[in-house]
Amino acid sequence: MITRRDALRGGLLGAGMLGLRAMATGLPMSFLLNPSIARSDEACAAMDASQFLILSMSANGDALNCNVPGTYDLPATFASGTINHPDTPEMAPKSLKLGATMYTAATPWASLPQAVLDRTSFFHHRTQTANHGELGKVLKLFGQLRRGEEIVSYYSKNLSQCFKTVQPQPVTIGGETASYGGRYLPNLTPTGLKAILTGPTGITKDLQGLRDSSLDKLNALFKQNRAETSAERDFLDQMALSQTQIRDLIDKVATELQNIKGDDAPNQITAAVLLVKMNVTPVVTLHLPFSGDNHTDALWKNETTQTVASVANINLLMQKLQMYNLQDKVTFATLNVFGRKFDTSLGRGHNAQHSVSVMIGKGIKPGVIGGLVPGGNSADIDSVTGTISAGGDIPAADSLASVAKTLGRALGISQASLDDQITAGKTVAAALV
Amino acid sequence: MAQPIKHRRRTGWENGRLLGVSAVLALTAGACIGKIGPNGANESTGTGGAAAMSGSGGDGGGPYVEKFPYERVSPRLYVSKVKNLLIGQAATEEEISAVEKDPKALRAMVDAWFVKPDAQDKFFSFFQKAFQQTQIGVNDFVDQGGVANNKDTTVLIAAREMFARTVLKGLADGKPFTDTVTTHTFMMTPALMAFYLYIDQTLTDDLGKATPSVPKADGTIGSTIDSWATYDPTMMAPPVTLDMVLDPKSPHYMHFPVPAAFGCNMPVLDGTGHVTLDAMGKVITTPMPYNERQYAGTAAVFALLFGTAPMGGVKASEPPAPPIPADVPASDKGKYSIQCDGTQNFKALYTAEDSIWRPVTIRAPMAGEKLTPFYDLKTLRTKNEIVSRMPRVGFFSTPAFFANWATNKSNEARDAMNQTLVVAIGKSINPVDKGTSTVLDTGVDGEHSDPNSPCYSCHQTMDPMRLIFRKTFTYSYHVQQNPAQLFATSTFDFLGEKAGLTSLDDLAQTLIKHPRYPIAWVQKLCYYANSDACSEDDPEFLRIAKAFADSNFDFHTLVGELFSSPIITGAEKTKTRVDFGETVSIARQDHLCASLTNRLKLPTNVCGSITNPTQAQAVANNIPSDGYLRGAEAPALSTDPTLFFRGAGETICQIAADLVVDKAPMSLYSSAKKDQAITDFVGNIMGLATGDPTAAPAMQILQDHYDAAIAAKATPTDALKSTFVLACTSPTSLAMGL
Repeated sequence: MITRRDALRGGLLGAGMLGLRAMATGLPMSFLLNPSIARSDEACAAMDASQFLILSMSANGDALNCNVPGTYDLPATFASGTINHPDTPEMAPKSLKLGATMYTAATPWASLPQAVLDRTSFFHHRTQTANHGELGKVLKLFGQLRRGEEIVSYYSKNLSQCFKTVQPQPVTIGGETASYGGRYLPNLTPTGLKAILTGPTGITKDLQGLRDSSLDKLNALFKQNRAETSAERDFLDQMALSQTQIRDLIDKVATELQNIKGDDAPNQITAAVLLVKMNVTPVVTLHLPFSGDNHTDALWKNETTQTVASVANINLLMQKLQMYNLQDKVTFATLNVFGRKFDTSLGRGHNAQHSVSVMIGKGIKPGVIGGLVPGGNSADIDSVTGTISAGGDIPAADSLASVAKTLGRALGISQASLDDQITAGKTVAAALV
Repeated sequence: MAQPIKHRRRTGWENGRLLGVSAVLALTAGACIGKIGPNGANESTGTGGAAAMSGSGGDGGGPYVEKFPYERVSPRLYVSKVKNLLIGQAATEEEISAVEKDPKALRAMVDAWFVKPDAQDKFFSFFQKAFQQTQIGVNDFVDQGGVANNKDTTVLIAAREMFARTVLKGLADGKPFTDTVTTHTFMMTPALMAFYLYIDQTLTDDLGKATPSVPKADGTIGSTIDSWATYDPTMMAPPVTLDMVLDPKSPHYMHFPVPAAFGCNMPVLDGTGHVTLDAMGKVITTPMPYNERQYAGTAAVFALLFGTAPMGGVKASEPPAPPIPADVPASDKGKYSIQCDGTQNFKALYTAEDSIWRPVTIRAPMAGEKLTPFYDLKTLRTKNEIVSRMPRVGFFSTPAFFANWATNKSNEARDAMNQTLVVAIGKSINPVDKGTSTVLDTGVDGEHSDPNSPCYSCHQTMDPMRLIFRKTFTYSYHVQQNPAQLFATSTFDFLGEKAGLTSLDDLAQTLIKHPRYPIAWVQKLCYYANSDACSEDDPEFLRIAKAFADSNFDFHTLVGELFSSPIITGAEKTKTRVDFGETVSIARQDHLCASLTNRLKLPTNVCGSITNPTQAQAVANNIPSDGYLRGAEAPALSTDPTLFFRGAGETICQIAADLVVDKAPMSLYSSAKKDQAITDFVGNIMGLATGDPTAAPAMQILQDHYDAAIAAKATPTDALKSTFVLACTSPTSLAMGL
């Protein structure tokens, strides 16, 4: 074990190169100094509280924010006609109950089973960008997450240690791009996963087993006699590991993969649940659309059809999790690059000042966090009550970071880690069980 | 016990890693730009690494400290890496020995490899991506007039390839690389020429209203154009040809032949003229085929030219709906409609001639000049220029570039402008890049002209620049005719360079004169070669950029300097190496596919010719490609060997094995000569030259595997295929830089 004195004396490049390791791995120095003690403060200690994450991301700037609780029944301070909802029958306002409170939302949200609503929160915030190309920056909380990391990467690193997943990296299957440890993750698809994870049979399978054994020998040969640098040795280790990982996975998933028939949202959900079930990764990202980039959307057609479909897919996700008894181990959330403005039926513009993240999970308390102020912007928030609070301790500008902290806490990541890594915002206690 | 640092597992903490991964850019009329990070650090290429080492995570203070200890790479590895990068082949022992004796020998090798066809093929893919001309499908061209869901991909494929071919032709002709920005001459096929002219001859304003503007036979310009999709069951021989369809004197003039009648279902009426219903209340119909659809407009002609009789744009010809009796309530009037077929696809009339590439210059019309209608493929086949009212200059005005970066009323061509900057000078607009212009877009976009708004600085920089696109093109990238746009003032003011812009040519000249132009291209090749950035303050990097500029932007010189440089080889310590460390990457799709194809001497790219859909999916989706992202200065490069990559690697290797082992009639490898085959697996597929200390042990491992496979009752063919797959999935085959 490396002592604190050694670490401080050594500085970045001192004994164990602790500082550099901390920076390279994204783990706090405290963890590296004394992993056993640190772990008791980290997510792994509260193993029961640790959650997998299935995150729906969108660079389209969907209108999810326009039709959720918190955007209806607004006070008279909102000028008439400034907050518009689709007038289609499918999106008619309807009551729903979150906790002990009744809210109004578009019909699809109210159609979620009460058991799901009992662990659903709608977190109003702002991303402060109106640029499609900035989803990556939103995921990095615009620099408020240390080391320029993305939250999916940060969550994944923490949670993979707890779950000992096959790989620590998230898996992205919805077409949106994310990174892990500063490296882009490949954009996978459900059918691509199915294709790759359908194992051989017969003599081909036997030969594969023989090849694996021979590959182990080749890996050892190259590591000993060819790799000259640590980067080269690391790569060889990774190659060997990936070989083991895929064999293990193919054995586990072959039958259930046959349920994947395409790459649309329902199939993304099937694939995501399967990846979680097989402990492949702690974080899966996918893409559920709620309107697309609807600058023009005559008669709310896209917003209506996509919201109806995506909420139905959220319900499908919950059903699948239930089927595999994973409902208490997986949290679902959404994160959009920006929201939409509350325009009229001809279409909606980009809204950098208001977005909503939906969170559903065991650690989530039902309710609405934050809300709107006149003008269609997100409000300041009181971190204790989660209510709109002008001048509250979570200024609207810090609400994105607060979403990240709150979600992280719901995933079981320790407050200490969250406060250490995310340099703004606060966890909203009212959103958590 | 201290653990070794995993150099590959660098996090985003090192700013240079995700250099400009996404830029801050206000693209829309919505509110504003995101915050800069807490350190105020701009995600500039190459500056983050040094700055970050100050200990505060990026604020640039304090003395420079090396982030990664330098570890020398030997010629045996770097010669293999460079040769594989350039031509997808394994290095020979002679080549390695020559460089071991004299490291300078690599430069001559690079020069020689560069001119090989295999290198041209690899750079073709590089240019497609570097100039952002790919990552598009048929529906991405709909704004410009493409046919939605068109099954004919002739124009799509040509559009994706056009600019890369143009660049290679320019290099072969010894033109400076700056030509890629300024050129008016492009490699085109007659089909592509037709597409360009079709766009030009369909005036589409900012509201989306399309009006034909097609030259007629008498030299005038017509605002209407009729065409027909015709089924003639009496037609026996000869079949209708394109010549007949283009001949005004022919009875088949503008009548494109379709192979089947169009079908409609007509409601059956009773004696009183009312529809009849079945037991379920459904309207009883009877089929009523018809033989001809008449269309109005250029879109239909273009669709017909490429084998689609669309459903929309039908002017006449479908049988008329029956009259609706007066006593029918409004809710039932729909029962009297006729249900007709949708789109019919058919064999198009163009020929192989229309896919032949040649240089074509695009120029503006002279006064009174007779123009060629876009559908006149016969004439276009003989032309080496097309006359277009809409200017086309360099990479940033191709249909493929526009298909990538569509625009609209909110976006106002900001995306196209920003991506032009990303490609040409490697930079995206950030809030810290303050322009000096005091004029935003003529006051129209008032929301962003408040100097106190957080959006102001980006718009101040961006908006005067992007006007050059709006002056030239409408939202759907057709010729601009609105005086309010035509006479707007556009200025370039970015990172120290300023210029007035009256035309796309002005923009092109400004870009190539920008001091960042050579830097951007060295950096792009750094990413290509190292799967990582180079430090832009590395003296070696700057030397190479200067050499490129001093050579009058000779790309061959750039490749020669860079690929023989320690920045790429790791043969000596450079600032890049200690800022970013060494990246050993998976062989991404372009590299892996080229390597297998070239080493196995396959006639077509092994990845592009997979017939089994499951295997094609496995490879396409799980072997990452180099890509580009909106707003990102750095390419999207996956480097880690995940289990998914591993699985896909096995798939492609198995496919290759089936192609080259005991494959009649002429197989590269024969199980009857398995020792010879295994020797080649080691030297060629695994890239272990004869002097490599691992070559002999690797050979033994492969031999042992073959023997074990035979012992497991595999046939000699299957045993040799398995041995091939073993070699093909070994780390030296699936990695770049190992």
